[in-house]
Amino acid sequence: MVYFFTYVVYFYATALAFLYVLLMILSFYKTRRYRSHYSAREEDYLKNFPDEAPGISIVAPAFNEEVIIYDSVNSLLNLDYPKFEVIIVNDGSKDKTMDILISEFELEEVPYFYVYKVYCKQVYRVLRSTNPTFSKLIVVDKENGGTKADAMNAGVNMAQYDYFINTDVDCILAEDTLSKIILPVLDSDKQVIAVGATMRMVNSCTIERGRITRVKPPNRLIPLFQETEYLRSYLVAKMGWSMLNAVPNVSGGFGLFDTQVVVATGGFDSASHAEDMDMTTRMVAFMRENNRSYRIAQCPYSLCWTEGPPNIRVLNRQRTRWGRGMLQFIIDHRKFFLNKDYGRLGFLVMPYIVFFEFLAPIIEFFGFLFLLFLLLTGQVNYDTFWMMLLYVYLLGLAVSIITISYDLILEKLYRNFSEYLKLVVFAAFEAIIYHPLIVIFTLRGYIQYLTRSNFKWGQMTRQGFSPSNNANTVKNNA
Amino acid sequence: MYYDYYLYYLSYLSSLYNGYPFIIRMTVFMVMGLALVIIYGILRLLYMGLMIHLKANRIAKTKTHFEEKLIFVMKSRTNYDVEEIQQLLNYDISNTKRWKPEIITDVVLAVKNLMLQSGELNTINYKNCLQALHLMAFWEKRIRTSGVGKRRAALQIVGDMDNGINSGILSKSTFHKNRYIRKTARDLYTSQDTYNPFRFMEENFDDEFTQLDKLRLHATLIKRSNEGKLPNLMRWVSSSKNPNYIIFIVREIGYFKQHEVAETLMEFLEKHENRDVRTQVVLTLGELEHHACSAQLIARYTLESTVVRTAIIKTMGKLKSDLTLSFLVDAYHATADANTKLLIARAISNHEEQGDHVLRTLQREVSRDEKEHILLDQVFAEKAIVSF
Repeated sequence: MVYFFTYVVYFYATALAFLYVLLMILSFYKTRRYRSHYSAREEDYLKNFPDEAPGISIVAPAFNEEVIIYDSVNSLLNLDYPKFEVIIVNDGSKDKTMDILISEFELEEVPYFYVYKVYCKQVYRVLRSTNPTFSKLIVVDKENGGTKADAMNAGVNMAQYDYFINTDVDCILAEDTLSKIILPVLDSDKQVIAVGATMRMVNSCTIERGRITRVKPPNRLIPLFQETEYLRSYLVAKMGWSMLNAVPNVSGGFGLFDTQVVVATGGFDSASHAEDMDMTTRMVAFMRENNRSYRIAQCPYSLCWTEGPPNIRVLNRQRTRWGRGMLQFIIDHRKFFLNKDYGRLGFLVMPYIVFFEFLAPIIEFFGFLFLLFLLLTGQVNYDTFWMMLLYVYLLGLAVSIITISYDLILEKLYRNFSEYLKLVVFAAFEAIIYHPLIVIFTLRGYIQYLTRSNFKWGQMTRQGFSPSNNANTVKNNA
Repeated sequence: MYYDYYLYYLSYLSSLYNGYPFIIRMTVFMVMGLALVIIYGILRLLYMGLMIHLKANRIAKTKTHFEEKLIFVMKSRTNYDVEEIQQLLNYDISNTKRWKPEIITDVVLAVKNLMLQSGELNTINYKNCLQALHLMAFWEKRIRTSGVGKRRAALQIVGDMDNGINSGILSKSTFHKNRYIRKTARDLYTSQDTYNPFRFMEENFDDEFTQLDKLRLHATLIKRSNEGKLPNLMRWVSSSKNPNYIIFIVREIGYFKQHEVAETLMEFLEKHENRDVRTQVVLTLGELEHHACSAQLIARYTLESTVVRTAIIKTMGKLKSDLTLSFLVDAYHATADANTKLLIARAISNHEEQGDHVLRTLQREVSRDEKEHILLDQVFAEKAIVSF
């Protein structure tokens, strides 16, 4: 029994190592190709010929976001793209979010024939600005639906363009986000149903008038670890999967979606705790069921900055929610697992999610308990123990260092090179300090789901984008 | 160098685990491999940091040396010959470094675009600058000799330079197996060739024709139309079987207002079965404001699929006549679909004062139906917002 479990853990780690090596190779190839195919010239075509640029709707739900709403909306309105609209969904905020929107953007209620193409809670009114400067802004005021999915659906019903961006008001988008994210759609011979892009932490960046003027790695420990974790997830994993057209998830923080396909699949699922992964999977299933070829693309460039959990308490809330979402997703979509009718989704994406995303914290936790048992009963062979420990540690560190170098090759965002070295140094401690916390919080999420406890959406401490803003604690449904 | 030395330590580490199970020995090798990857990764990161710093310095130095002089030459109303420019730029071509032409090209193009925007570009001096700095020769060589990525970038840069190119240099690239090179080369050919520029337009342009290609070609056609009148685009439609390409060309006919093609488009509508092509033909007829098509489109309305009907409604909104208005009112009454009603109401609203009057009449008619009332109110509100 002891040998069996030791071998299970060993081969699991080795399989994970080989998977990451494969993803790194695929990601390297895909990123290189992406850079050579799309340059500033392609983006210039869109800006120089605005009539030819496809329109994009940006949908951002807001629930009690008075601290950041003004900067956030301003930032969205000032994106550099010729044809877009910004739809802010006020999801029944109880603070001054709506008042700020009305006064700062000179909004007035307009008659609107609202069609519930996908389900959402009741929409009270639609507001538009009387000031031509804000003519791209549409505000939808609705009853609180309790989840981001419900608010997103209200925005999707309003979206007039073929593609929409799913984002949060606490996210800051790069100025050229829209022209970068639409290029894979324009250049594909197949229908592109979704596009993801790299997200990073906004925590220590300098922001002026809703725009990032200086990108820095976070100063606080938790967001700093999360920065490397995000880069690994987007630049290596998702870029690698996109080479196989098997991106498992287009992030809920930032992603471009095909409006018609989202509407055809019934919109975002309000009951889901992982509404982004759920939406991506249902879109793929819809395309497969209707025998339509599709593509999910991934853009390697950093286009979205989001506020990372500043402390362990908030990290705990975030990861338990993700854990709940993961387990719920697997149970809800179990029919796709190894189902030949769903192609890559059945034989690649679902097995990857089950074996390497869902099972990883369980195996790690029980592996740790098992190690304690072996240590206490004196069954550890110290000659090989250190070698095995080193193997697992070096594997994680190697992936992180290569990811950081990918990021530097792509675009030097940090001004000082020492800031990249800071990421490397802290990556060396990630396995000891940060990773155990992630395992514990994820398992807590699994348990919460199984015991059906604490199903509320987490709270997030908003720091605000302007330096003068004090930190306010508000509920976050995004 | 020192291979034996390294080999000794490697075999020493391996020898420590001699006699252990295969898995342990395999792990030892993997640990050594991972350690090497980490060391290489860190060294590579440092090297990249150094190279980025070096490149930034080179760009700054090149910019300082050339920018002001180039602005002076390209802005000047006096025409300078190549030797004069070479002397003015104080740049020794024979002693140039490999990285330099790339950076100089960026500076030249930046100055050229700046001058173009302000309308102060002296084209003769600009072309002499390219010759004085031997930039065309550098990029033409790169088109002929380099790998896929660099070759495509070189093609794009030659396109940006807009200084013409010998079609012989492009011939290999225009039939390259890599679609990105092939399409970029064909676009460049269409943009720069002086003898038979529309050769590829007549041949479907490329089998893999995407939205991005449409954008690129649209830019090229605008450039060509600024240089002289475009040929009748309809002839490229007749020779093509690719619906994507046909849709693009039909759209361009509308953009370049080739009114003489309208009648042929009407005949084309009768013959062509592809729904998306028919939709574009109807939209283009609206773009051309071809009033003679109104009756025929109205007659077809009930027979067509939803997307073509939507296009007919939009076109009616552009043609703006008594006939189209009365058709739209009838169509409004005949449909129960809210989306179609909204579209029709927008098209009616396009008929200016007369349209607004009709909309108000419709609103009175539906005063008991709250939903329809809001729908018509929305159209009025949209007009108010759009007319800011």
